[in-house]
Amino acid sequence: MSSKAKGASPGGGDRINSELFTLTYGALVRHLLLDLESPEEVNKQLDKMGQNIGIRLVDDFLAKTNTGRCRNFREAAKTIAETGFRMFLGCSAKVTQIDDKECKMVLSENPLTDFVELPEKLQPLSYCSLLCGVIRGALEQISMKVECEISKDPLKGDERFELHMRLVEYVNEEYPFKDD
Amino acid sequence: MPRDSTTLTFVIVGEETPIYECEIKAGAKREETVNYLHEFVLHASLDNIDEAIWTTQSCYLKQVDRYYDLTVSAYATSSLVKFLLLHDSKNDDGIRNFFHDIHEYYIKIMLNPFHTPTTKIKSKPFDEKVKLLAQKYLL
Amino acid sequence: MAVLSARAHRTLQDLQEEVAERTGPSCLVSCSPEVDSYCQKSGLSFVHLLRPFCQLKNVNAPVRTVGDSAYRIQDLTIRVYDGRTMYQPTVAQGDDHLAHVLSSYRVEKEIEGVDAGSEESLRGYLNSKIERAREVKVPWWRKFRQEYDRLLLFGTHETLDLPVAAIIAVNSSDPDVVSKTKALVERTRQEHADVWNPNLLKHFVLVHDCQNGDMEMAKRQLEGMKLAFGKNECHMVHLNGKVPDLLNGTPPIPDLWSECIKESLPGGGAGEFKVQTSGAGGDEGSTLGSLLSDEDINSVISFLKDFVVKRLIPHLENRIRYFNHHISSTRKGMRNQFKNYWFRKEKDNSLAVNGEPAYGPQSIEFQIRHLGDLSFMMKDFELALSSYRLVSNDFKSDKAWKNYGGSMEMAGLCIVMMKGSQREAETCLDSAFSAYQRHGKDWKLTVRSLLVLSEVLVASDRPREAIGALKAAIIDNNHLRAALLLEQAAYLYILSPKPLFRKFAFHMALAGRHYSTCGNHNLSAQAYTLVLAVHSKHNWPFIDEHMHFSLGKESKQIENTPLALQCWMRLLVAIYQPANVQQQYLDEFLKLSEAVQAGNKSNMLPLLLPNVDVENVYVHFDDFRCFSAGAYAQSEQVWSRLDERVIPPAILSGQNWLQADLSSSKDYLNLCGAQEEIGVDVEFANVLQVTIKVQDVHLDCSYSATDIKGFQSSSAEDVEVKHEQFTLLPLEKTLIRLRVSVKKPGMLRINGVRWLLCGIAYGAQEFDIRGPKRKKVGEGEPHRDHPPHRRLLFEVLPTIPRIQATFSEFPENMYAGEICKCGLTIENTGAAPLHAMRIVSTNNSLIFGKFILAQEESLIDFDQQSVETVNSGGVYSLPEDFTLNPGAKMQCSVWIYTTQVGNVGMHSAFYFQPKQSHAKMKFRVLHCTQHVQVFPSIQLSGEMLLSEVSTKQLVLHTKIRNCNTQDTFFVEKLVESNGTHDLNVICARSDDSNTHRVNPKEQTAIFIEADEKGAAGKLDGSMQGLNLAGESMLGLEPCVLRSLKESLRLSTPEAQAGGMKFPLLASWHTNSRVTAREHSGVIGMNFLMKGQDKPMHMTVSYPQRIVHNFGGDAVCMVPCTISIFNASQQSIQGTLNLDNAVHNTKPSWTMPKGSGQGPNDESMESEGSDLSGCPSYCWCGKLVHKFYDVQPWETKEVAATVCIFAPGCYEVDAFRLQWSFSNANFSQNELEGTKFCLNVSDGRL
Repeated sequence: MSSKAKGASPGGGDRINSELFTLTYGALVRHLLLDLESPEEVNKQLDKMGQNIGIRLVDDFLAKTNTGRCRNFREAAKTIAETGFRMFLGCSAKVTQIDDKECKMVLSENPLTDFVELPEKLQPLSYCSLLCGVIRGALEQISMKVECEISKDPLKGDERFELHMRLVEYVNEEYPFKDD
Repeated sequence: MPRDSTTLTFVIVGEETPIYECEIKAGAKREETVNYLHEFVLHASLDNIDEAIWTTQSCYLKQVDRYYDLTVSAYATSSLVKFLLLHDSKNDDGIRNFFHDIHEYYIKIMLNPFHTPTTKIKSKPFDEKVKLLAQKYLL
Repeated sequence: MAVLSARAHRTLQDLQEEVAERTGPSCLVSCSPEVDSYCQKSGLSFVHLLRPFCQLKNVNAPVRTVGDSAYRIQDLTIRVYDGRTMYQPTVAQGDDHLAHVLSSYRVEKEIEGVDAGSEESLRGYLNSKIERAREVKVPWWRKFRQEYDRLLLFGTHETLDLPVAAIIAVNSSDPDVVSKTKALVERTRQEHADVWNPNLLKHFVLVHDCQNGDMEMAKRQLEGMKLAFGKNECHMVHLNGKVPDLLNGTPPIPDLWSECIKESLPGGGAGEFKVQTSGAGGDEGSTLGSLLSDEDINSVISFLKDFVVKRLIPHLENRIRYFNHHISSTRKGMRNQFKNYWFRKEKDNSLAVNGEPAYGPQSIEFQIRHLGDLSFMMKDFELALSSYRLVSNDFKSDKAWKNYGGSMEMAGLCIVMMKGSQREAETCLDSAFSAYQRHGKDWKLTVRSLLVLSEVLVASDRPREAIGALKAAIIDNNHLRAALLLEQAAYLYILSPKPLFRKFAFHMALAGRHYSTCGNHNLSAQAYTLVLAVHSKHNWPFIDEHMHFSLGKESKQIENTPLALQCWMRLLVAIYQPANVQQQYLDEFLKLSEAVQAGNKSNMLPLLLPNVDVENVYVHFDDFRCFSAGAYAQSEQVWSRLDERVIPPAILSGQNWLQADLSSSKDYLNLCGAQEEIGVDVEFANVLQVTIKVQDVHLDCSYSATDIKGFQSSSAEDVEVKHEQFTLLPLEKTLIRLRVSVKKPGMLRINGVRWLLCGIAYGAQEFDIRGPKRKKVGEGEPHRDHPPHRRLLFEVLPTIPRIQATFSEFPENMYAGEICKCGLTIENTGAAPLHAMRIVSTNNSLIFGKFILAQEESLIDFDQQSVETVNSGGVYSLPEDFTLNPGAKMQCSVWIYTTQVGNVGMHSAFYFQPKQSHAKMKFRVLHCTQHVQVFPSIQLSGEMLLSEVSTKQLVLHTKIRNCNTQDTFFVEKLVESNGTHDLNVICARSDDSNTHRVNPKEQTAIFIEADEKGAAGKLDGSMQGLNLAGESMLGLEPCVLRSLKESLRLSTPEAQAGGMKFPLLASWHTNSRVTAREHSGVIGMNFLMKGQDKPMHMTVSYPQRIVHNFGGDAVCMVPCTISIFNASQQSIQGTLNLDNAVHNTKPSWTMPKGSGQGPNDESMESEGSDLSGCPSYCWCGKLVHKFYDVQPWETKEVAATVCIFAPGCYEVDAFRLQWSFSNANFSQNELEGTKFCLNVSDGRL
């Protein structure tokens, strides 16, 4: 993933044109659809890819924004929402209704889904499940096992894009670290 | 053959198949025959368009075909997606502008990763836009 | 001229040949009845007999017309007509004839076996058509063209078809041939006065029938004729020379005649008449020319050749020369030109037919035209052209448009024959066309000119213009002609160098329409088929619909029902049509399918109605995970978590290992037990606006007893499919679960679904499930890789036990913390015994009692067998050896306890193993889901303090808040669940009643003192308000209580080190407004000691009053005990320092002190105190006490003594405790003793 042209990126990563970025992601999803043919499979795949991205991304993130390791779930959620999205997606997100096991994040706007309209035969496809994967992967690296899902999706007719994060457990580093 | 008073049929054709059809203004009574007759005329005109494309630089191909008093004006995007308009009244500038603006919206549609040149355009806003433009330029 | 394509060349040549054939010199034939009767024997007339031989190749005859140089004619075709037929039929007759000809043209085979559905077949058909259209013209078009020309023969305005010679045939049998011939000539002249002219070439043929009269006789007759008419004028032809040898029949002779015999018109004319095949010919007459021997044929040929070479050509030469001379004398030269121009004005138009001058044979124009035609026949095209041009001017100035057109037409043809410039030819033909149009009487001529024009244009490789010409030829509303022309135009579109298929389609469609209107359904159908072929994949909805509709109708007309059926089938999904139209389509379709399928299921149609969602199906089946109703809906991870807990790892590892080598090869397979039902959810959608009935819906499966290779379609004895039926309202969708169950182990594959539409049409659809492609695919294996619920391939194992768990009186709503009781019945519905059951539920909200085995519905049996469950960490396991036999039931009571609020799903998993375990399925897990609505109830909160009074006592400051908005709760009992403390409410808000009332959304607080059991019970007396629970523990079942504590323990996270936990249970009851009944439950809470700040606790006990006689003894010793209590969770060590108030400001004390130097410090302190004079008090005795690892909850007592030197009231505070956790030697903490008061009075007085 790469940061977006508009929107300041605190980490100051080099930027690419947002259309290019959006279309690249679109192409990715399309290709997966061609390969895997069933939306469910694609969701899984996207999620997995996202996880791998997240695993790698988190270090970069922590390095660029010298934020200390988030101790608990609340902190993590806040950091992701306020800094993470800004930095890598160029859009801000704000955390709504958080407690120390679950939280919801609402994205101001989602650059991934510009121009996108889901055809009705692809309704089961959750287009952005990559994001969930990223978050899961990232938090997994800082030893938080979370479940993340898209609870509201404009592509499915909701009015805003909302992620739902649920903390499963705090894992202490166990060996071997899985990285698939 | 039975026809409406003023006929305006707008079609977007990707490759061979119509991906968007819009009966912009049908007369009071619309016979069932009209539909397929119009389609036949439009489809037949594709042949002329294929020739016309190579004769001009501009996307707007003017009037490409006529069948009795049904005229077909056409517009081909650079990706060779064709906009056809079947009309029976002469209104060159209007049609030119109409096509031009449609093109803008079509690009938006085309940026949807799930849109291929042959997928039907079902987007509601697009439909409304087309009708709006038709009101503006053609009627 | 542009370089022509090969095709154009060919067309040019054909064109010339055709023209040559059309325009050969025509001869009038007149013969005596006997002659015809001779020919009749071989089924012919004399004219027809001659015809095949009229095309004379390389006669190589020298010709010299007007030019000085002679030239040779190689090929010459003459036309022979029976005199009686040499006139033009009326327009109406002509049209009828054409219609008849074309409708009689057989083209059914054209669209045999074309499948309107499959694109390939359509394409194939189209291409074959195009190929054929490339090398030959469309056959029926050719036919049409010939007939069309024939019908325009003998036009009054052209002399082309005037006979130039008369052939008089007489029979040899007559004794007096000569006189007879004369008579015949005379008769002929009278009969055909209109075409007869004195200088008509006459030729005489003596026809001899070998079957009567001998040859010699005939020869003599011929001599006679020669004497009478001249040597060259007479010939003899002999017929029927063949002797039919009866031994080995007559060898078949080539059929030369059949295509020469054109059909005759009812009105006669057009050079044809009906041949009477009936008559003397008899059976021989059936094959044409059956009686003609080769000699006969040769005689005919030689006759014709002599006739043409020796007589006809010279004669024509003469005529040409004569006319030419005559004309040039009158018309050539300046003078004549001028005169001609001058006198044209007062030329009499007496014999004018309908406004245009007609020209009699004597008129000069007639002669010029005739000259033109003659020279055309003689292939002297220059002369012809010049004369045509000459005469055309006259006609033009006379406004004789018809004649003008005719002459221009011929002029054009001249140029074509000369291979002159195409342009010229076209201009000529154009003007001919316009002239005819101006004449405007009969369209036929106009059309003809246009046809010629188009042919010329095609020949000059300009198909587009040709198309224009053809289209222009559609002038009157003669549908047949219009259709033919359009069709021709269409073909030109695809034959043109850059084929235009869409135009082709459009014109074909129009042609088809015209065909059908003029009732020629064969041609119409094939035209529509071609259109479909072009349109097959472009899916323009309206076009497709219209085409299918039309083709359907046409092909029904020509009894091609399969094709019709396919068309109507496509029509079934015409969604944009109004309901009534759809209904009528449907009815039509049903009628057809009734006819075609005739009720046998073998030929299924790939029906699109109802629309089956073949890409998405959901397969319900039970492998080692079974689901009870509603459990499917739950998310996957719910079950996986439960499974983790319920499946013993030992088995799982085994399972995994087995699975490993299993899945490596057969991951596309689903497992299921024999005789167990497999359900497939399929969605059926009615796209129409009419209600349809769908019956006999069932899965189409194939079964193989052995392995994947050997699939054959399922038979009833091993696979049993359930048949469903339903009715779909307009635009309704429905999800149907189709079921199949296999009786014997083996392999099962579900192919698709079949149904019966409206009780008539049998439809079938194959499932096509999307999914990622698989790497390596063996034979019979699916090519895609699916998640289990989408796999359609099953491995059927032998019967495996399965259980059914049913909860009885499960509450639909309860309060948080309420404890509801309900019943559970577990039945082994499978066919095999099972054992080793284990049960878990999500966060242990279900608490299972002991099971009672139900012997045949006699629960309250005396010796009923009951089975204890062992609960370890929420996993309830039944003893291994206990087996549940097929059909056996067992029951137990279940308590539901949850503190979650909202709609809570209570998921439970039941694990069990079959008695004799199967390699592929060692165990099974049943998943059940119950839902209950949980209302909020009370919540406890608060904090725990150590009481100042006693180290054995804790003070719980408890807040009880009522989270419910409408119900009032009453807190009855409070219990410390460990049972180590007694509780005692210090001050209750409502001490009048013995319960605590908490109103909705309110909160109340109570202070509770908790005293360690067995501690000196000084609190016993203070039993007030709330009656505290003893050992009875709220009257709960022990098992419930245990798990309650369990959950309570699990609920709060581990307290931080040093903290102290105090679990409190509060039982409450309410009578709910919602359910209108009494609810009661228990809420637990863990009090946590604020561990870190005050783990150590020091209290001093001392005598309240001291009376001392200071007179007697100056120093009063007061004994007191300092008790140190360790409230933390760990053992501690520390030092207790006692020192004197006066010194504690000394800097030397602030320095950190190891426990070692404590005493000496103290000692020097004491004497130091002596020095300083009257101290208020001081400690004495052992001033430094050390202790090592004081256990949690342990109390150490230290005896200390205070010395008082004067009576008074002393505040004693100078003692400190330095301590640290024994395991962590850093972090010295200090605890100041709380000051206490000693009141000493002097006892001297």
